[in-house]
Amino acid sequence: MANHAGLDFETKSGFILFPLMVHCLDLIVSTIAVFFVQTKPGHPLTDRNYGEPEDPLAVLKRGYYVSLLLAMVGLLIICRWFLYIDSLPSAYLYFYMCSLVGVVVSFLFVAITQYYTDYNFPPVQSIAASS
Amino acid sequence: MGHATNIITGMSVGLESTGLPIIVISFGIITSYYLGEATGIKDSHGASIGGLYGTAIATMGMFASGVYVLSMSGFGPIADNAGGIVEMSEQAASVRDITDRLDAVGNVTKANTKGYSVGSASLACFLLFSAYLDEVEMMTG
Repeated sequence: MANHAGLDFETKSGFILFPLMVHCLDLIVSTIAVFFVQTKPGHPLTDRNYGEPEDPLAVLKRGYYVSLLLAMVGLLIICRWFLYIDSLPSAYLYFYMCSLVGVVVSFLFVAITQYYTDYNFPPVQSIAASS
Repeated sequence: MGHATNIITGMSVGLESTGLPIIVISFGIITSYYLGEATGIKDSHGASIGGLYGTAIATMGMFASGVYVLSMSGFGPIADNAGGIVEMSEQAASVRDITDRLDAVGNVTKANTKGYSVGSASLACFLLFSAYLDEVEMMTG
């Protein structure tokens, strides 16, 4: 595509290196997000005022939301850095919106999978009720 | 009621569960294609050619937190094994309650990764086909 559009060498190499940078961002963002996976301090059996134990899935998903937010910010930076075209100054914003579509799709996938496999939602309960 | 109704309901829910992901993937491909076209990158004939790169970037955007999802799926087998060990060593019921709960979450995260990898593969598939067509066009002229 870059060849057909007659872009210069620097812009073309930015387009090619973009996926590599996204994966680097992926590693960094996920590493940061893993540190947000924590439960409340204390032990539910020994501490009196511990309260209800947290839902383990909620704890995991908190880290996932952190990684999504950081990925959105990081993608904007990477898009501006690698996909900036001098003759079309707003092109990188559209490319950023494309990557946001990807982020939304991945979020929806996680939500849909949870809906169909978690026992708090009707699909699994209907299977249990029918047996 | 019995095994038969269980299998029938499970089967129907399993088949039904593919519907929403298909809609989400189609939505993702179409939206990113038109956003890519909207960048205004044109070839020498004046036709917009940014669309395909737009879908490529959507795939990349999906991968932007992929490592976290993959590590979440690593949690599944571990919780599963813990449940198995607790059952085999005949622990108290309170321990079994906790591992059951973790087991359920492990199943959700395991299923997450499957949906995630299939989804990103189907987005990438779209690109693969067009790359193939490009290559053929180059050879046949």
